[in-house]
Amino acid sequence: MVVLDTTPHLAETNLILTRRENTEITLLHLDLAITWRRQSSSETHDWNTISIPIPELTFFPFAPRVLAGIACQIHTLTIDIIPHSLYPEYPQYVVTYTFENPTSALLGIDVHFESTIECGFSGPNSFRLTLLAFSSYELKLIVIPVKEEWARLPPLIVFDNERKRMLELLRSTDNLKIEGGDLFLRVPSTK
Amino acid sequence: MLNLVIKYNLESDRMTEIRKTLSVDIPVIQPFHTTFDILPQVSGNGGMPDPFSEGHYLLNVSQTWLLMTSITRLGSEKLELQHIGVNAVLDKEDMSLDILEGKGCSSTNRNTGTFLGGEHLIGSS
Repeated sequence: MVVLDTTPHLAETNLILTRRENTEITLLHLDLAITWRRQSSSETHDWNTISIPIPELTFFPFAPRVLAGIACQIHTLTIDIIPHSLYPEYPQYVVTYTFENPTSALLGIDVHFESTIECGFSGPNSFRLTLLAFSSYELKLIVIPVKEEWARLPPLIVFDNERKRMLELLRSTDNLKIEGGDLFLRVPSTK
Repeated sequence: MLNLVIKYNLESDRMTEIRKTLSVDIPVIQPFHTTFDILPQVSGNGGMPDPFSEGHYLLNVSQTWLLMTSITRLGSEKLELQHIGVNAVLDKEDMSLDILEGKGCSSTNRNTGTFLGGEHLIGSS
């Protein structure tokens, strides 16, 4: 069992939500059930279960989107990515961008990465992409942050030519954050 | 609030009942403080439907979300956690929810899952 002291305990739960493709806004009400007891060396306490409400989750109608995630820092580069060893003292990360089209319509988008002074990157920076209905495309970039704490990743602009709108960018790992429309990577301090 | 009522009488006057009342506020706190974060995940195989083989007019689309819970104890006592689960109530019949427990949910380190199915979801039995 887990002993909860001063360090927070982290728990992960995967929610796989299946809906019809034409579903409108969906609201999900969840509760967290925790089974716990006091720890004591002198007596054994009974287990208790409490229910804590989770803030209501809102799922919008299906729309094309971009998911950005960083699985880990890399020390040796993998295939499909142009190797970069010019600045070995700076940590290198692989950012995976997944362009998803969860609709029954064809999707044509213009993808453009802008430059940033807080990190260098290696990979495609401007291209046009076509996605069939219910399909996705994965793109990997190498990023080399030169700033500690939170480094601003190359701003991504994804434009749907048909519907004249920008695609939403979402983070899929917790070492990223989105602020003011920009994506930031948490870089451990070396001090 | 706890109300205490003491009834007594004096030895010198046993016929007269005396009452003393005392009200005490006992603070009851939740044992935990929780924060939540939800992250969309790339759907594995089967998340996106195959429009050429399913044969229905409207297709089902699955998306995966990672619910991350941080639990901190309130108070000074150490607590033991046996299990952390997520319960849901579906109020629509045209959707289903699969709840898969991951890291940190169970002391037995076994992944368990709960499936909530809507009766009107296309393809559901």
